[in-house]
Amino acid sequence: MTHPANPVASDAETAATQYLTVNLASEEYAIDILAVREIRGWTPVTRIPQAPHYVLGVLNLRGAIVPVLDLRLRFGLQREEYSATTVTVVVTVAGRLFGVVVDAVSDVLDVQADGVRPVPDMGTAVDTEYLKGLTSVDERMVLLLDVDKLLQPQDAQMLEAALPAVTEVKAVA
Amino acid sequence: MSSTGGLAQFQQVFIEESLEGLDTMESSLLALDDGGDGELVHTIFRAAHSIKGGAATFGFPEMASFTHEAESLLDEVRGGKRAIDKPIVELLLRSVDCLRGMFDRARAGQPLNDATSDDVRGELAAMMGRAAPAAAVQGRRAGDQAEAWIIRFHPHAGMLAGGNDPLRLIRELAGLGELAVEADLSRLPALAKLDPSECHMGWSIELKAPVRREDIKAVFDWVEDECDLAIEPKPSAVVTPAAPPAPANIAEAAARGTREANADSGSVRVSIDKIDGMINLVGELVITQAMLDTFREEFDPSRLALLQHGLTQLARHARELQESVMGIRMLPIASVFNRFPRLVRDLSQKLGKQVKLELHGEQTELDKTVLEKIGDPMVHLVRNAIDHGLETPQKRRAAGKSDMGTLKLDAYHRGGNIVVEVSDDGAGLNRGAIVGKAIERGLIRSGEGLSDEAVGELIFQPGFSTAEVTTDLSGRGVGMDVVRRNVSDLGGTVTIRSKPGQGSVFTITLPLTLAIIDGLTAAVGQERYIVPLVSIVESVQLKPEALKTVVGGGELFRFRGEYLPVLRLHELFGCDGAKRAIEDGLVIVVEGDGSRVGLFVDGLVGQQQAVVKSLETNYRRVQGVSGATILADGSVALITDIAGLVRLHGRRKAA
Amino acid sequence: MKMPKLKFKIPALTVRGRLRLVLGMLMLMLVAGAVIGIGSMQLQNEGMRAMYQDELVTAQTVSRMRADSLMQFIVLGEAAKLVKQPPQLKQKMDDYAALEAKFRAEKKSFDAAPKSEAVAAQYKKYMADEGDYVSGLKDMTDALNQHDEAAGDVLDMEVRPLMMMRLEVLDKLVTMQRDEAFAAYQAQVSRFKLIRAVSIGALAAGLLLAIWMALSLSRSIINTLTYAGRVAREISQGKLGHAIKVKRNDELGQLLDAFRSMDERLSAIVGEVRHGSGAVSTAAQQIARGNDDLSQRTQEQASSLEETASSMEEMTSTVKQNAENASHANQLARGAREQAERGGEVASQAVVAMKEINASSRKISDIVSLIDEIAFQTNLLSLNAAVEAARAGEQGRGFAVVATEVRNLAQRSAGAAKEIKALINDSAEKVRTGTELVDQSGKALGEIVDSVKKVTDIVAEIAAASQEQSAGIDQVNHAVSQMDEMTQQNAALVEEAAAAARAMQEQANELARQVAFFHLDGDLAAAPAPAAKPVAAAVVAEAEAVFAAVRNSPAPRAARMAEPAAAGVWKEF
Repeated sequence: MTHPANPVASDAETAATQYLTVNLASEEYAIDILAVREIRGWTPVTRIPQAPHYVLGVLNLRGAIVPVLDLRLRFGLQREEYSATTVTVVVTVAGRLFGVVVDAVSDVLDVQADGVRPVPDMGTAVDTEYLKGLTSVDERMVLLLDVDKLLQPQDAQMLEAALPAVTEVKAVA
Repeated sequence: MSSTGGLAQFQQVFIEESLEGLDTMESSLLALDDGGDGELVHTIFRAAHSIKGGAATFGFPEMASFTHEAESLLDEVRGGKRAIDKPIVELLLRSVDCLRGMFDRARAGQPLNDATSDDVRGELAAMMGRAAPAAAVQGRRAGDQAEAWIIRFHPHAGMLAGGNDPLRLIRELAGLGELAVEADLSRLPALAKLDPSECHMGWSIELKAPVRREDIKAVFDWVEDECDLAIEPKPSAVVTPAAPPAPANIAEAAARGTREANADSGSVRVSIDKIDGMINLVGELVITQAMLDTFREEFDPSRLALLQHGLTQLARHARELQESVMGIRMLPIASVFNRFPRLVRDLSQKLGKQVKLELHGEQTELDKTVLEKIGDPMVHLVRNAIDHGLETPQKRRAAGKSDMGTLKLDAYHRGGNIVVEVSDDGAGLNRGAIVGKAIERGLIRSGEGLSDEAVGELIFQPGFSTAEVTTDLSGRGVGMDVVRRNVSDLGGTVTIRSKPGQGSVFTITLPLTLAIIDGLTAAVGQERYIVPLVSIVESVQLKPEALKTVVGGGELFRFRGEYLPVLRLHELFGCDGAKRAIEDGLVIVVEGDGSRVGLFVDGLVGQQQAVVKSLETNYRRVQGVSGATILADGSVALITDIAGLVRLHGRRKAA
Repeated sequence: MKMPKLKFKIPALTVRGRLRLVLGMLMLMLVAGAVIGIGSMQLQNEGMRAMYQDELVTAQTVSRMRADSLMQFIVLGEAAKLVKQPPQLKQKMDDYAALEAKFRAEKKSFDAAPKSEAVAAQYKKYMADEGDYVSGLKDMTDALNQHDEAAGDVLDMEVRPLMMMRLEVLDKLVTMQRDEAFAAYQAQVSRFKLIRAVSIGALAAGLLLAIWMALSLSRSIINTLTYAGRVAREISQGKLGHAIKVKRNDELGQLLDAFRSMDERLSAIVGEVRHGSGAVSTAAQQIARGNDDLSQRTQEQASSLEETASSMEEMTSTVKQNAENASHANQLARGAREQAERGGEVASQAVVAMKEINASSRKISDIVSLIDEIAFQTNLLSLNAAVEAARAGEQGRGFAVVATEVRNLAQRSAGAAKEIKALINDSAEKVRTGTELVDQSGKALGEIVDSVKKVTDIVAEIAAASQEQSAGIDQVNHAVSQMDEMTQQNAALVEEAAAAARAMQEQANELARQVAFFHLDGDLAAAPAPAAKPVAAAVVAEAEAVFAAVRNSPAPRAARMAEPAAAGVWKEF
């Protein structure tokens, strides 16, 4: 398992980073292309128990079991019908794969490092916590997603799910 | 780790090979100890030599020089300049251990040398009548005695599984003098990834007492191969013989800890025959595929029979290919068994018992994953057997047995399982003590009417350890229950047969592989779940009147004279659209964690072999689910974990 | 005309009943005389027995009682003298006791005996005084038994008066009974005289009754028999039509009734025969006359048949022409229908073609969807390629450019696919409306085909009808010639019938002569011929009927119809 070089390092070197832009609720988001493993059409997934509501389930990515989360639900938006253009973007964060369901993929962008502005705390649909910054391309605003944070176990729900395992350890010891 | 990627790959291979070489050295040395012939010396020498060469090539000069010392000694023995004797064998064995430690550290990217290696190197040199390299000797000297000691103790993740309790070690240390203990939590993983059966902590202990290094080492004697241990004189008091581990290294170690699971995915050495067979199969597969391809171009119903034939062939080849690929993962159990001669030798010496180890079925093959995990429970069982299974020579004589006790390890295939037996001809289980303890613990009310099997079962209960059998070697409160838990994690079972005065036999039954299980596909609403076939007792259809609801919301039904709780899978997993009326669905009676329950599902869809995929690789552990598999249509189905479901159900009820 | 046989009526007795009645009356009178004699003798006997038993025997008993009482008194008187001599006294007392017992017995038998009213009253009087007397006797006997000296006194003073009274009463009783006996005798004598007178009267009345009955019986039988004999004699002489009145129901009445019905039957038969022979004679004349008519009419029929045949011939040729015209029309209609059908076929072919166009445009639409899908997949693929290119870093630059190109292509093909889709949808819509139009015209053609078909059918029917008509006319022709033949035959038959009628008249005259032997009541002088006259009208009518039968039916049948009129005669031919 050879891991590619650290994306942050390459960012510093080339100053221009490639991003994959996706559409979600009439806004355009960008995912660091090096975090993307694969883009695939939407297919139904297998539900898994005790998962947060935004984790739709798992899918079979060439033999690997990959959890899939719905970005709309993750951002607290209403889920719309999964259509023909609905797409699952498989990203890899810290060696783990997971799928992100978005409305559509649109393009690959080259973003210059100096073109990225910090996110003002304003009325985007998404909690600014998950954003690295924003940039504009041809008058369009593109929000840069911080995919690392998408599957962080900071939710109370996940904590709750993990807790019983801890109490069990005590019982044994 | 400044090496480039390409070299790192070769290093990996070198380490794998060298570890095997070390194993060979060890077993040969042990054979030599038992009076083996001179050829063994050659074998050992060759192994040492190739390690030395490799180490020099791949950038491990420390290792090369260390091995050189050992090689020199061996050369003398080989050349007949020196007769082989116990001290030499002892020293060489320790050298092997040292080298193992070096390889571990090399893999972890740590400095190769440590106090122990310096010590051993010094002893090797001394053996050959030369002075050890100055620094090392000095280090050793200084290391032998100090005013105060800094002990860095980082247990390996699996140490707890071996029945070793770090707290006990620290308490023991406290017996030597005043302690200042600092916990190192850097390796503690995120809560979601926390495996409670593993140890994630490390301790930095300052012992303010002028004790000898050997005394401190004695405390950790039992765990030295299961932890990273550094014992250093406190810098203020003595000259630092070696640089203390840098903080960066600790951080790296922490990183290694998080990747502990991935560390398992090492390489496997495969015989050419197996690969040739596979190549043949793949060739066949390609031919079949080409044949089927012609149908795509022009389809003619008259050639339907040919198509059918092609598909049959394709299915057969795929199956054979699967079998042979699975076969690649199959390794002989010898690599586990080979650990034991050494262990037995050390233990018997320590306890003053005479033990003869017999190994059978070393060539029995089993899955690499299983192989890696079977070691710890077996070590535990062997320790147990030597510690309080076998008696001292005096007692044995009194009982009319020969002084030499026999410990037998046996492995063989039975059905789709591999059976590993650890048997001794010792005293057997002390029924009275076990029953007494069980009553004291409130596990049972009285020992009357209990069968021997039932008494045997008692020792597998959590935290069970009788006062009489507790020694410094085993029985530290964490006992057979851990063995059982480990074995059942592998999908296996462990049982005991014992005859007072004649010995006991522990039988571990394991699936050949963890990668494929036989399971029934059960439907629950729209979902499909795999229930492992091994845990299924029977499937029954219940009438509503057969169901009894007890206070607290639980449902029970009668099955073969006992009342079993009903677990509604759709409730536990929150599935939509499942059947609710008990008479519409099916109750699968399953056994997990020693208890039976009825699993209520909509119905059974079919039986299939499921290739087990881990959910944890990309997600996390899910209670009640042991993994996932991919169905014929490419969709994913979850594999139920019966024991986990029972625990989940219990918690639901309590909540 | 049948009389009920021997219908018995109560007031009108039969001869047998009358004889039985007379003999019964005589026997009854004989028995009555004997009963009266025996009854009177019985009465006499009874009177004698009563006199003896009731009067004489009781009178004797009372006499004996008086004698015994007297004897008692005497014995007591002797006893009173012997009061001082006990042994004698004792014997006297025993005698007294015996007497006393005897008296008691007699008294008892008197008590039992039947008594008349006067005797019973007297006896009652006696019984009233009896107590005193008995007590007196008792005093006496007591005294005697005590050997009282005063016994004699007692007897004289006390018993004697009482004794005297008793005797007197008893005497009276005897007398009374004797009187009664005498009265009974007197009654007997008067009764005898009455019976004698009644017996003589009854004998005389019985004799008178017997004589009357004998006379009336003989008279009623003889008269009737004489009358019956006279009637029988007259019938044998051929005289019929007697007015025989039957007023009786007995055997003789029945005999007269039989004569009457015989007379009537014979009168009726003779009348009918006479009437029949008249009718046959008239009919024969009629037949002869009718035959003449018939032959003339047959001639006329033959000529009209000829006319019919010629007009039928004309009709046949007209009908034939008609049929020819119809079949020509049929042919024309069939041609029109074929044309229309061909048009319909073309229309449906157009519909099929339209449908095919529709299906293929749908298929094109599917393919375009597939192209769209492929474009989408290609887009994804190119993005994946871009991702891989980005991963490859500097080496992947060129590849990234290619990927971008591919993506552009994919997007363009997606756009083109969308446009094609719109076009296809548009053309599909047009094809749909075209299909509809063709469908409609196809339907209209179909309707035309239907109507033409109906016309063809009708014309074909007309042609068929003409054919049938022609055949029918042929049949009629055939029938007419057959009728002609029949008419010839009829003429021959009429000749035969005339001869037969003449023979029949002769036979009828012969029959009339034979029947003239019988004289019917009221026409003794009349000749047989005029007898036919009153029924002439009826006979003519009947003859007409016979001719009608002859005209309608073959000869044998007519003969059978005439059979009732002259069966026997015809059979003799």
